[in-house]
Amino acid sequence: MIGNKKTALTRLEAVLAVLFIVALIAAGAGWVRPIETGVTTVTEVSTVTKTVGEGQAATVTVTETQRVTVTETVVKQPEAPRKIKIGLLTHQTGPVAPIGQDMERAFLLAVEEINARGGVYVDEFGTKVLLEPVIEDQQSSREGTVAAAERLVNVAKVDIIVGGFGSAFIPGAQPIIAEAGTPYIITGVSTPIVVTRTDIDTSWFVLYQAIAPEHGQSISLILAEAVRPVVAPDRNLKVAVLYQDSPFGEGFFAGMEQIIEEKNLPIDLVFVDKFKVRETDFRALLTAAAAANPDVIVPIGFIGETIAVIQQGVRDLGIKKLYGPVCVCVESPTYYRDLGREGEFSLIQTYFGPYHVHPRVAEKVAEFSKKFEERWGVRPGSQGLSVYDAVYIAVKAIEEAGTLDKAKVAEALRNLVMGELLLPVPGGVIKFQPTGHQTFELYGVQLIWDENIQELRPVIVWPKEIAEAEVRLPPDFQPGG
Amino acid sequence: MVLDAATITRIIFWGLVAGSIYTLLATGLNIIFGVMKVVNFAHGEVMILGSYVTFYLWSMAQLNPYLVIPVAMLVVAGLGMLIERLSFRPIKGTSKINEIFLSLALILILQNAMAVVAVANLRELKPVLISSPFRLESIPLGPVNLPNDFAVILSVTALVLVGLFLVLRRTGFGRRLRAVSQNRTAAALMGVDVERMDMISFGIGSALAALAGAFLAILAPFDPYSGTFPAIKAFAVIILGGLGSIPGAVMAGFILGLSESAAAFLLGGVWKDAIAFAFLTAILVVRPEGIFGERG
Repeated sequence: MIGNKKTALTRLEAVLAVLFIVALIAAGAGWVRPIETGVTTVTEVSTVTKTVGEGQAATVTVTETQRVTVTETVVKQPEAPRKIKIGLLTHQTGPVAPIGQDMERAFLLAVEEINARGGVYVDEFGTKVLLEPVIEDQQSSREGTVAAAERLVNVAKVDIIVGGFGSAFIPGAQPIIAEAGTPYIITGVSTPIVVTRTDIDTSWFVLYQAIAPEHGQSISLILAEAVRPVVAPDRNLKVAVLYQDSPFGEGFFAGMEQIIEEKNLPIDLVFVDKFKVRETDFRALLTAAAAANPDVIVPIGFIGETIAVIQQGVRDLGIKKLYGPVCVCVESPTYYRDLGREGEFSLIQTYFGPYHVHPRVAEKVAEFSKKFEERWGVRPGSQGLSVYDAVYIAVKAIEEAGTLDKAKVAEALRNLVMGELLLPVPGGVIKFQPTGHQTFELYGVQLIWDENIQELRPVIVWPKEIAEAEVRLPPDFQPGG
Repeated sequence: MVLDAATITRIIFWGLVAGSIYTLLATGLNIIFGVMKVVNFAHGEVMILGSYVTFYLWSMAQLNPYLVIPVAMLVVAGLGMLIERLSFRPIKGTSKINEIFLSLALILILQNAMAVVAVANLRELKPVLISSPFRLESIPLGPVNLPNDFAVILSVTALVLVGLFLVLRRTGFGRRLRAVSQNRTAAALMGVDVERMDMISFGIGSALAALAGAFLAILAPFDPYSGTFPAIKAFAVIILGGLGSIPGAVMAGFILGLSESAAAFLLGGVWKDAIAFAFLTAILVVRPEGIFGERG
C-alpha cells in the first residue's frame, strides 16, 4: 500500500546519503578554512617545527585545530633564552574569514621577513631573538574573539598581540588582555572607544587604524574642498547622507557633522537618513533623498550596500547626482568590477586601494604587494597592510624597550616614534596620540570608466598636494537647488 | 517632502518588485509546507543558491541572464529534491524538533558550501551581482519611467504564479498535490505516491526560490549570507497569508513589499522592517489565522 511504503534507504541510496552528508559536513565543518595548499595542520596545544631547507627552520605554536603555513628561511641564530611569542587575533572561520585570511597572510609574511633577518634584537638578552607566531581564530563572533584572546594570553602566554578585526568584537576581549597585562596593537577597529574607554586599563592598547570620525571628517573635507568648487562654487553644497544604522555608520556621520560645524564648511545637509545593516533595497529611501534635491548623495555602508545605493540611484531612479565619497571599506577589486558604468564619477575616501596608493608610500607598497602576491598568489587588502605594519611596530617597540617585560613594551609602544611603513601617516611619522590612537593621511579618489579594460579605475582628486585631476561631473549631472 | 503622483507611482513599483521576491519565496515555502508539513528554515539559502547558479550560468554563457534562469531553476529544483530525499525524508515522522534542527543545520551547511565553492580565493568573497542588459533601459509609464528589469520581473512573477495556479487547479498532478496537502493518508489510500509528491513539492518550492534568487541577484549585490532576511520575511508572509494558502502568500507578499516601501519613504530606512512587521502583527491580531487561512 502506498501510504505504508517504507522510507528506509536502499543500499545505493544509503551510500549516496553518507557521501552527501560527508561532503556537506566537509564543506560546513568549522565554517570556512581559508588557507590553501602546503599547510601544516596540527591539533591541540602543540609546537610544530617545520624544516624548510638546510639550516632553515621556523616554529609555529597553535592552540586549536588550525592550519598555518611557514616556509621562509631563518638564518643561523645566536643562542637566545627564548623566542618572542607574537599573537594574531584574526578571523579564520565564518563570514569575516576572507578579511581574516588577508590579515593572517600579511602577519606570517612579516614574521618570516623578520626571522629571516635573524629576529629582533633584545638588549636584555644581548642577542637577536626569533619571533614565534601564534594565531587565534575570532570565529567571526564576539564570543569567539573573547575565547581567542583568552587562549592567546592565558594558554599561549604571548608577549604581544596584533590584529583583531571588528568594532563589535574586540571590546569584549579587551578586559581579558588588560587583566593579563599584554601589550596589544589593535588594527581592525574603527571605533576610538577601544583606547578611550574608562572601565579598564587601556594603557596596554594602541590603535593603528583610522577611526570612524576621521573617515567622516575626510568625507566632509573632500566635499568642501574638491567637490564644491566644481559643483557649486557660489553657494553651499547640498548633501544627502544615507548611513548604515550601526556604530560604524553613526561614527562616520558624527565625524562628518562635527567638522562641518567646527570648520564652518560650506555644506548643507539637506537629507539625512539611516538604513539597516545588509539592506539591499534603497529605492524608496533614494526617492525621499532625491526629493530634497541635493547636489551629492553620500552612502555610508559596506560594499554591497554602497553598490546597491549607487546602482539603484543611477539605474532605477535616474537620479543624476554625484555619489560619494563612500567608505574606504569598499576598496576591493570586486567593487571596481561590479559597480559598473553606473559608478562612473563616484568618489571614495580612502588610504589604500587595489588600483591606487598614496604617492609617498607607493614604492614600499608595491614592493610589499609583489612579495605578498609571490607568497600567496593574490593581492593584499588594506587589513593585511595594517597587520603587516603592526608586526613591525611591535618589533620596534620591543627593541626600544630592550626587554620582553610587558609593561615596558607597552610603555615603549605609547612613546614610539618611527618612520611610516605601508600606510600613509601625517608627516610620515608613526607616533600614537596621547589616547593611544594613530592618525592616518586619508585621500579621495574619483572613479572613471576605462574603455580599454571595461572597468572603473581611480584618479586621486584630494588633497590638492597629491591630486592627479580635478573632480569631474557626469555629462547629464543635475545640480541641486 | 513632495508626495506627487510620480513619487507615489514609484513607491508602488518598488513595493511591487520587492513583493514579487517575497511572494515567490513564500509561495515555494507554502507548497513545501502544504504538502510535507515541514518548515524549511534554509529556504533563504536555497534562494541564494539560485542566485549563484544563475550568476555562474550567466558568467559562463555570456547570455542574457533572463535566458539562463529556467536552467538555474531546474538545477536548484534538482538540488532541492536531493535535499528532500537525503535529509528530510529519513527523519520524516520523527520529532518536529529534528526537522527544525535539520533545516537550521542546512542553513550553515549551504552558506559555507556556497562560500567555499563560490570563490576560489576567499578574500574575494564580496557581494556579486548580475548585470542585466536592460539595466539602463526603461519604459515610460505615466509620470515615471519603469526600468525594463522591473517590467520583466513583475511580468515573469505574474506568469509563473498564474501558471502555478493553473497547474494546481486544472491538472491531475495538481489535484494529487492538493490531495496530499489536504489529507496525506487519504491521498495515499487513493493511490497517490505521497513520497514522490513530497519530493516534487520540494523541487517546485526550490525552483521558485531560485527564481526569487535570480531576480534578487539582478536587483542588488548578494553573498552566501544574503538569504536570511528575505527568508524571515517569507515566513512572515506565509503567516500573514495563512499557512498553506498560496493566494494568501501572493497577497501578503505584495502587502509586505508595499508597506516596506511606503515606510522607508515616509518614515526612513530603519523603520522599513518595523512598520512592515507592525502591520503584520496588527493583521494577525484581527485575524490570527491570516488573510486566507481557515478558521479553527
